Amino acid sequence: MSIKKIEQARAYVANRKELTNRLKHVLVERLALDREADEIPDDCLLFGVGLGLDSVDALEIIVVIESEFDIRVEDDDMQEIRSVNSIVDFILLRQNEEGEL
Amino acid sequence: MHSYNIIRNHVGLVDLDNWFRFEISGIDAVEVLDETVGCNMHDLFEGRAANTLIPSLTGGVDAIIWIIARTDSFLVLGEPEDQEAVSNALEQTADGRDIQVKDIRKEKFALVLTGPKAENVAEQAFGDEIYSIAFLNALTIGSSTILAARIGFFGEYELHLFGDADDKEKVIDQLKEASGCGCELMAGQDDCAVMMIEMRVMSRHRDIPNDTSVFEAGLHWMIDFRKENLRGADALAERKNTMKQKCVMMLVDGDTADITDQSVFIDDVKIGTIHSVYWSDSLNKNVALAYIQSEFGYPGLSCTIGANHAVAETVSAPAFLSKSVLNSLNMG
Repeated sequence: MSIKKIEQARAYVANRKELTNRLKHVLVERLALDREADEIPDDCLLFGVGLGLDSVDALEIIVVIESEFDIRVEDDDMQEIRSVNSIVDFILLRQNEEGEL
Repeated sequence: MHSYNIIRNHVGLVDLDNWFRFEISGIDAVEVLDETVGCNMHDLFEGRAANTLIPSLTGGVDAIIWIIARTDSFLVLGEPEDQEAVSNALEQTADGRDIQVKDIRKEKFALVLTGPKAENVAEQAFGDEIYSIAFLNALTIGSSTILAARIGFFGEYELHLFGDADDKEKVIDQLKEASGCGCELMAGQDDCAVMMIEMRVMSRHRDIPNDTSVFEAGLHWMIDFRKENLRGADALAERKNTMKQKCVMMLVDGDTADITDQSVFIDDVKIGTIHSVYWSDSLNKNVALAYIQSEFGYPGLSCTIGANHAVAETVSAPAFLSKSVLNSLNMG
């Protein structure tokens, strides 16, 4: 019997939730944000309106992704650094691509 | 060229005269505002601005506002639908203390110069002083003095301009001249809603159902939870631990007529409800805000909507980085 989509969704979300929480904790620590990890909404805009991060923070976020998640970030990938959710999308995509190799 | 294209790709001047704006002053203004709004007013120094909300006494959202700190007063700005809630909350909190709330909508115009090329137009109009604006500054154009604030709703470069109502048409003409693009500079408010949603900037009346908590709407970043006098603190603490749903962005394929308030399914299990839907030219798709059970409130899930089984996917927000942000990150 095939696994129902709802069960696949539950498994996917469990993995994603863990990754999201890990990323938030690392960002709070590395960017020295004056807030707790659970005070950052998953979709909150990182730059400008929202958390108000700047181009220096953007560079630190790249370092975080590369060092903590062992993923190379190219210049074209900067578009993916918009929110915690979009960064998690990017990490999962790269992890899946590596898994397929 | 319609407003969306003007603002997302060029430069537009949007008339926000219908938005409410209060000038708030008085010895107790800081304390009263601090007890009313989510951000910490003691951190809002002169010359700075904060995007925050007024939490309801049940842990929901009464209003979403910008507060700009001036030398001896604060300017509070928001969508017209939130004006009454802001007035009521301030009145409740003031309780006889020394605070004056003045509605300046009739005496001060409100315009926003916005878009990826807006900074160039601002420089032509006001000189290179505009590059030194962190949040706000007084600028001159012709014989008019204007308060210019770098606050934002659309994710683009935005310069909000407040000046004497009598000078409004003169200022518009001078900005048109600076832009070199004549009447196309004026952009309507029609597309503001979709541009806000693309950036996950929410409107209280359009995008947040009644009794939705601050956490369910994903707006808790606007609140300083360390404040001892936080409005609705007990309700917020309770609702943080009882989140039933999360606001999630969805991209919807095909015909989306009448999908507002329709149910969202995975298999035949209902996981949420569509609240608002907008067409996005940048994404070439309909973008919806849905309230999804917390358990499933994450991007990357394939769903169907309503009886017609419209195909949809939960996605990350903001939908993209605007050209203005890419320019500021030297990636434009």
